[in-house]
Amino acid sequence: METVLEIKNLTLSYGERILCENLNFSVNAGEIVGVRGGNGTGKSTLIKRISALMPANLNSEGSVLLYGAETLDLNIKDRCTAIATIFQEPEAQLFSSFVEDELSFANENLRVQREEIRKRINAVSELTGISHLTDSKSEKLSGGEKQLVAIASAISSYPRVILADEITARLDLEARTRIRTLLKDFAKAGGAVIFVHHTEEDGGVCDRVIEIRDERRETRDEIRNNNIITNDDLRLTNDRGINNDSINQNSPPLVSRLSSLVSNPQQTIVLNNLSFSYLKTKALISNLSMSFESGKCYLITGKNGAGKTTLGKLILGLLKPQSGSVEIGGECVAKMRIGSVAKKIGYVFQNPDLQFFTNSVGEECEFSFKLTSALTDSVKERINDCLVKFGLQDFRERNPLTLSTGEKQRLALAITSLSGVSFLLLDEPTSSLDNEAKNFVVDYIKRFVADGGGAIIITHDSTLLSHLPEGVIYEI
Amino acid sequence: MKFDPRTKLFIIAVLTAVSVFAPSIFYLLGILFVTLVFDIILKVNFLTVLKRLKFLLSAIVFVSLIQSLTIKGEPLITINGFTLISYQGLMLGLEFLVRMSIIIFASAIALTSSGKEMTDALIRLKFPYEVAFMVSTAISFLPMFREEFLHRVTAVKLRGIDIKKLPIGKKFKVYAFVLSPAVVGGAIKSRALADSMTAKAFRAHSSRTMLRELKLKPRDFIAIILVALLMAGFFATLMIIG
Repeated sequence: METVLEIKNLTLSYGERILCENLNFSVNAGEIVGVRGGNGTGKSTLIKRISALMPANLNSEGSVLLYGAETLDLNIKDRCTAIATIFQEPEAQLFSSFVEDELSFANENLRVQREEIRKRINAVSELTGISHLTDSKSEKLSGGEKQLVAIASAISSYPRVILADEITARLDLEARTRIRTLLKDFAKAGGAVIFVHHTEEDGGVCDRVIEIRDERRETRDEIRNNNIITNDDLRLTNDRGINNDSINQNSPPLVSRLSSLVSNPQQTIVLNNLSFSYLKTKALISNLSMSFESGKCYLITGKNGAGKTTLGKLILGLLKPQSGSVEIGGECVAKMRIGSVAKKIGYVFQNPDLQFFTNSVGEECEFSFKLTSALTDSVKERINDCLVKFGLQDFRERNPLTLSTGEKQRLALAITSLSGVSFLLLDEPTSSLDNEAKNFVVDYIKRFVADGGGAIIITHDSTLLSHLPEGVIYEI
Repeated sequence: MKFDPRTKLFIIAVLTAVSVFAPSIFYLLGILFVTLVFDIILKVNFLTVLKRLKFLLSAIVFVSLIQSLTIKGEPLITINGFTLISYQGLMLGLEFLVRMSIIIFASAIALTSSGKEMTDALIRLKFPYEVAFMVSTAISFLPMFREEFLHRVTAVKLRGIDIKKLPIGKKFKVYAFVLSPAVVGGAIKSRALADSMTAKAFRAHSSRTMLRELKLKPRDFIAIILVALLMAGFFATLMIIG
């Protein structure tokens, strides 16, 4: 098989911090090579380096060869005709107001004929299952739908290489299966794929998997730094070390130190005939009634665009229902201020970056107490304890935005725990996390629920339920 | 009625230009009337415009009021011999208010086309496409920044903080806290969008294909002629009256 991409002695670093060192691997035509590794190990940076989209302060040694030519030396036309790059965050990839404009963008730049562009748009829309969305406004799409549009847009130029950076994290089961099939068919047709992923299901479509290890972390015997390991090896690794069934044995010890964080376990959230729509013509949520009790864990699942995040916003009072009501402990949310709702429900965004305002982890924890003049000595002590419990004591002075995804998620959870809420509402809390970080989140939820709190988790990860006690799935 | 985006750009440019040169409130009211007629023909969503520009409009009303109160001249409203509003002040304030309204409601015509259509129109008008995209990206930065800002304000509220109940000093502190990550977040997002555009072959060639063909229809020509006549008539009148 023809070698399409060759990564030779590649070392990537930001100043003193080395992300990956002396990386060597190649990708042949017809092959899907997976890349795995913990959060913050430089997988996304590797993808950027391969596609020659170098961040300004990134130091790169070694070479990335595309059909024998260094990608940094190629002109935009040659590079982009050959490589399609799909990034992790869909919001940062769509810049056109309408989906069709997004899908035509690359081909317009490559001066493809108008009729051919139309053919390609139809083909990729069908392949990715977004034919019904081509006339939609990009801003009206859900996170998962945006990701599908980003995938379709990237492959619309009919590339020979796809660089996919955790592209299935926000997709529902059907869409994930569709995208995996698409990647497999692309490889069968002679294309080459580098697929950064966290889940074993995604790993299943890869012919080989490269595991990048973070030197700063505690090492696991099974992980072999920068070596190519086969998919069977990876499954074995997971069976022994990072399988979710063995959470209790392998969870970091700090999790076990989490104590009761629930202030008022006697709460119930009730949704009465809730209806909501963004468009006058089509109801997104119609006459929905459900209840959430403390001491239980609820998973809200559903297809991309079904209204899961919208439902979360309705519960929090961030959106007003067209009809029906949400009640927390008998109080109607519509009559409460958001600040009051937030004292009962701790919300963690899909993207925790949006929840941080200050320059350090310590200040972030003190933020709301300072503003309400409630930063007493005992609160300071609680914050210290909390940082220890969440394994963040060493990051106290670090800027939250410089933390890894898993650490950011821990900080977001630590902040909600400090406010002593009785319910947690988590939007896709495990979607971009490595196994270690995922185990932490799962264990935290278990303890929160065991201590009498209620957890509502908006997720596509249906395997979560098997790890959570007293779980109920609501599919919308 | 649907006009070609180039026609819309021409209408916006003419209405804005004549509003700048209009010498009195009567001319300005006439131009505002024509602007609103175009808005109605092109189905501008007034509610959306007013909602989006709520803050700017209040600022314009405030500045007009200040002008009315501070310009000296023939007394119009006096309190105990003190001239509160002069005739000249009132006229200047009104002129400012109407002039700004014309610019806003004329620009609102652009909202009836997508950003892509407007970019295509600029390219057809011989703007380099990099510049046209730069303009449309710069314009889209404002809503992006606004979204980032509002997300973060919501995040503050979700920490259990009732911003409305905070004393004014702390309120400012909250907005100061929110502003800096919102600016940084907006910049990071812009950078990511630029990367994404580069990954999709932006600037691969000196020109690009346009999926949608722009074609001027008879109604576009009629509108262009009418607006051009309006402009000619306006400047002719100005020259005649000196």
